[in-house]
Formats: sequence, C-alpha cells, structure tokens
Amino acid sequence: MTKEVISNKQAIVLLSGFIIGSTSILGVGTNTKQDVWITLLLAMALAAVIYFVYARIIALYPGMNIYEILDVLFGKVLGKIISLCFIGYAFYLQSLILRNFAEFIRAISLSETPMCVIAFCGMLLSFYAIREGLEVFARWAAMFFPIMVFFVLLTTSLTLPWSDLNNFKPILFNGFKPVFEGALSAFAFPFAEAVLFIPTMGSLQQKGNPYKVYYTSLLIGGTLVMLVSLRSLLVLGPEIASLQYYSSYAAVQIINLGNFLQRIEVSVSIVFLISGLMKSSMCLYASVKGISHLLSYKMDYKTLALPVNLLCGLLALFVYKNAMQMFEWAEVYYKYFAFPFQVALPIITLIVAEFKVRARTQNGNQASSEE
Amino acid sequence: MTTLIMVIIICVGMIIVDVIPLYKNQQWLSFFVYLGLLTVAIVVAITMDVCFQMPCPADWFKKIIILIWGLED
Repeated sequence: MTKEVISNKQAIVLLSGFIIGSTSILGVGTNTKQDVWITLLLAMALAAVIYFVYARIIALYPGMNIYEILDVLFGKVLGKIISLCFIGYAFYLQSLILRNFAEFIRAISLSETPMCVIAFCGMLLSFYAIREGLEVFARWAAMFFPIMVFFVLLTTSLTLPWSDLNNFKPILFNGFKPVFEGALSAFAFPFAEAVLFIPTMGSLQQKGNPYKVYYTSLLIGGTLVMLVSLRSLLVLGPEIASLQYYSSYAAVQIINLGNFLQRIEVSVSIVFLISGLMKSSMCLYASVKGISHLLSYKMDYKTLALPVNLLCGLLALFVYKNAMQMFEWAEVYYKYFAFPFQVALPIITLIVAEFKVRARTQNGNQASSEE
Repeated sequence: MTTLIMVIIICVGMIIVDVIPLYKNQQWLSFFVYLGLLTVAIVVAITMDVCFQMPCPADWFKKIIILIWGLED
C-alpha cells in the first residue's frame, strides 16, 4: 500500500477547519455571555498545553499513526483495546457532527424533509472525501479553506455597523467560576477534539513539524472561532446570543446594506458545510484507519469508509432525542464524556512513550560504550 | 420507512461498487467484514423504522457521567 503524504500547509488547513467545524453554527461559550472572549482565550491557553502532548507523541514516533504507536507502547492486546476506545470516540463524534448538520439544515430551511435524508447526504459527502484518499481531500481542503476564511471575514466586517461595544460590559459580572466552566466546555469542544487528528498526522511529510501544525492551527482556528463568537455577542447582545440556538446565523441575518446587500446568512451555512465536512471526514478517517489497523491492514481503509459511514449516519438519527438535548449535551455533559479520550489517554500515552524512548536511548548508549 | 428505503438504496450501491469486486478478487476478509457491517446497518434501519424506538445513547452516557462525576441532574 502506498503511503499517503500531506504537507505542513495542508495539515494546518485541515486542522484549522477541524477546529472551526460545527462551532461555526453552534457557537461556543455563549453561556458566559459578555465574557465569551475571556472564556475562549482561557480555552485556547488550555488547548496549547494539551496540543504539546499531542505533538510530542507524534514527534517521538514520526511517520507512525496513533494506532501503531499504541501497539508499540502498550503491546498488541492493550494497544488494540485503547485503539478501540479512540475508534469509538471518532465514530461517535462523527455521528454528533452529522446530527448537528441535520438539525441545522432542518431548522433553517428543510423543516419538512426527513432527518435521514439530510444526514445521509452529509454522510455521502464524507464518504466520497475519504474514498478519494487523504491526499486528494487535503488538496480540496487547501483550496476551500480560503473561501471559508473569506466568508467569515466578510460577514464579520459587514456586521460591524450593528455591533455595539457596550455588549462587552460588565466584565466578569458573574465572577470567574462560570467563565472557567465555559472555558472547560470550549476546551473540550472544539479545541481538544484535535486528538482525532493524530491518526492523520501519521501521514505528515518527513520534514513536517507537528508542533508547528498544531500551534498554527490553534492560532488560525481559535481566531476564527473567536471572530464568530464575538460577532454574535456584539450584534445580538449577551442575553439574546446565549438564548439563540444558532446565534451565529441569527447575527448575520441582521446584515442589510442599503436594502441591496441582505439575506447573506447562507454564507454561514457555506462555512459550516466546508468546515463540517472537513471535521466529519477527519473523524471518519480516524475511525476507518483504526479499524483497518485492527484488521492488520488486510482491509484498505477506503473500502471500509462506506459501511462504517452508513452506521455513523444511522447512529446520528437516534444519538439525541431532539435539538434541545443536543445543545444541553454539548454545553454540559460533553466535556466530562470527552475527558478520557482528549486528556487522560494522550497523557498516559505520552508518559509511557517518554519512558520507552529514554530507555531505548540509554540501551543504545550502553551498547555503543561496550563496543 | 424513509430510513429503510434510503439504507436499502445505499446498500444496493455498495454491493455493486464494493462487494462484487471484493468477491471477484477473492478478498474474503474484506468481503465478510463488509457484509457484516452491511447486515448490521440493515438490521438497525429495520429496527428503527419498523419495530421500536432506538434507545438514545446520550441518555446512557449522561447517567454514567452523573454517576462517575457526581453531578446534579
């Protein structure tokens, strides 16, 4: 099997798109109202710490994906059990994204269309992206990412006449605790979800730098998420922004320049479509690559893409009862659910990896000194 | 019935595009894994559309999280 290789730039684009993902419509940290910017800065600081862990794991074992690394570190049996956890998380997260996609489309336009039709359309897009291979998908992402950034910047600048800087005040009115809790939520969704990007980083070119990829993406993705959140806060105000399900969409609906340029909220949908597709496809890649590894690469991950994706699409239909539960889950429970996959397992993996690498270096030094 | 119909349409496409070539190339592991996953998908779709309401996994995870982290419901 030919090894697929992606460049530093393509990895940055993919990861930035991954970070923006469904945040572009769901919003993040809206519960903290006018302190959303502090929440996001805090979440980005926490993400910077955990990104070091992710990048270090990749740097210690360059050219290997996370599943191969787990096998090397924990042995065949335990390694495969931990791999199964990551695969399950990737699978579940993809179904959550498909559900977000379906709920959003149903809420804004196709209210009478059965959810399965919308979810399966999103599912087929992800399948096609992965079926064509990671390199093709990365090239597509590099082409579409500037369009996404353009729309975010355009809509943000067009909402400036309706932005009220007084919406920032009063700062920390409810104290620091809700801000910290919001930061933990924002850390888990979307920043630390980048743990699922580790399997993709196995395809990074030899001279690629995982630290650069992770930190540049954090900067780009974080800035875009911040722009989207601030736009909602400044245009709608803290109360309405925290009550609206799709506050980002509602904020852009306000744009009306001289009765000529209006109804451009579809641009928010375009941004979500591009970033959501990137995120959903990366999750699919992580799960099928893992399953292919479990089968000792006797089955190509591209062949697995469609049946796994179909199951994901089906799970998306009953993963939540309704949109209300979806938002409650994202804001309250998701951070607890994701903690083992995003924080605990990577830290344990890094500790074991550091010990193994040091032991290997010491053994190498002893052998050379004996010679 | 929409879900079941869509799943059947996708499955027919999958059989034509993937399963038949796997069978012809005698890639038995891939063939059986593929068929296994297809069967699960069809069973889930039938269960969802015809038999009963599937249990929502978010509810289970919520209960487990509340139990482990000691949160208030």
